[in-house]
Amino acid sequence: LPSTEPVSTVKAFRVLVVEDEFLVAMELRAMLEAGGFEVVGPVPTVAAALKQLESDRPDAAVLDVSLYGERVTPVAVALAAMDVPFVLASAYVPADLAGEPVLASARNLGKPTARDALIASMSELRLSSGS
Amino acid sequence: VDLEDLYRLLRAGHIQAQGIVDTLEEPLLVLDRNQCVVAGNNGFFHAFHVTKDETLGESLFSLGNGQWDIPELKKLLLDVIPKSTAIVGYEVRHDFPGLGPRTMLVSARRLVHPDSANTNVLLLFEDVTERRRVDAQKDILLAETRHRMKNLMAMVRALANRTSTEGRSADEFRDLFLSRFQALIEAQDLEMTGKSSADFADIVAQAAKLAATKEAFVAEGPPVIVPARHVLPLTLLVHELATNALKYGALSVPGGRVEVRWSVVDAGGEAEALQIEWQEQGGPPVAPPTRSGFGTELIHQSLKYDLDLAAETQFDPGGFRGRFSVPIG
Repeated sequence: LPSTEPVSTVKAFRVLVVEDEFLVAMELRAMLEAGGFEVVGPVPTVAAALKQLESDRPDAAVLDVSLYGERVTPVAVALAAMDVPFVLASAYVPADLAGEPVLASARNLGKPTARDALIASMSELRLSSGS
Repeated sequence: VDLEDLYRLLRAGHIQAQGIVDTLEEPLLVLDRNQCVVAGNNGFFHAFHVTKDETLGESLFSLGNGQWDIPELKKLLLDVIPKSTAIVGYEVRHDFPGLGPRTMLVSARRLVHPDSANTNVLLLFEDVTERRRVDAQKDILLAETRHRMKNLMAMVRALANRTSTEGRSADEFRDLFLSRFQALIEAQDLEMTGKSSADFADIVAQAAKLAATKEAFVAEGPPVIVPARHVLPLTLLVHELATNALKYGALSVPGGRVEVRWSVVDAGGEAEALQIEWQEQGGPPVAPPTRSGFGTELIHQSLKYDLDLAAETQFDPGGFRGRFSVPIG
């Protein structure tokens, strides 16, 4: 397993968190920061996420699927267009996402999101990004 | 038995069979070998808005402007039935003129006459459109319930994870976690009353229960409808304030008092904001917390993010004072 300790000589790996439930967002941020990642956001809505992406390209993203009843799909599409890798952190099962290829093809860490799975997947993305 | 007896027996049997067929509410047809209707019951005539006269003797596939001329049904009758004795519950989905889209379960049984080679087919129709619709709704409801349950578990875990163990005994940690968990339960109760909103006074009343006496907790404000998604965050906000008052502030000593006052103010344009004033007095001198805990993070970061909450907190020697403003649409 790659080290999850923050290393000062390494450029920060910045992760955008999109999650509407503030308690869960607090927890995701704490888990990511403890794992040595820099958190962008969290942002709770599709609009806020898209606005964030206009001015800033994160290295990766963690997305909840349902944001106040709205699907995160436009954010996933924008990330894919920017070539930013992302994972889902959603309670939905594959059948719920089958209609949206951009979501269905993404990895879903599930909800509640296990810390180890979250850190491992972000570490993998960091490794493959070469930073 | 002589011929007379046999005739009576058959006749009685025939009348009995006719009675059974007429009693059945499920649409039923008897076809001959050429798929022409030999008999039908009232159930069929009612269900498909046709009369007996226009039905008997006609080919099934020309009935009702050809509404039964369905490829899969035709295949069933022409190819499958001759080879097998019975087919049960074959599903046919079709848009019937005048009836609309329907899902039918068609059962067919070959009736062989003992004295001749004539083969009739008994056809039974069951309209399961409504049942299927209810089933689909149930599936949606189940998926939604599963989703909500997982979200709730995620929130409970987040509460446990975000309640710090630093400088706390196991008992203290457990009590603090459980009091936050209790606030979550109460927020769920408010959300689950079936209404799409709750009254802010109900949210404050939950926290007022922490005070030792009624006099120690004054809550004043007009009825304010709080949108459903604000219920949990505001419940936790008020809960954290009350918990702090109980541990360090005015509610930690006899004679101390919390006054909560709220109002709805114009926030520009059509927008309105709920303004909450939290004032403590009669307690011990208070000082700002030395480290940032769950309450601080909740008030100054999370709720700003979640509700666009504006918060102003003052640790006056005379008592803690907080002013909060949250847009409510």
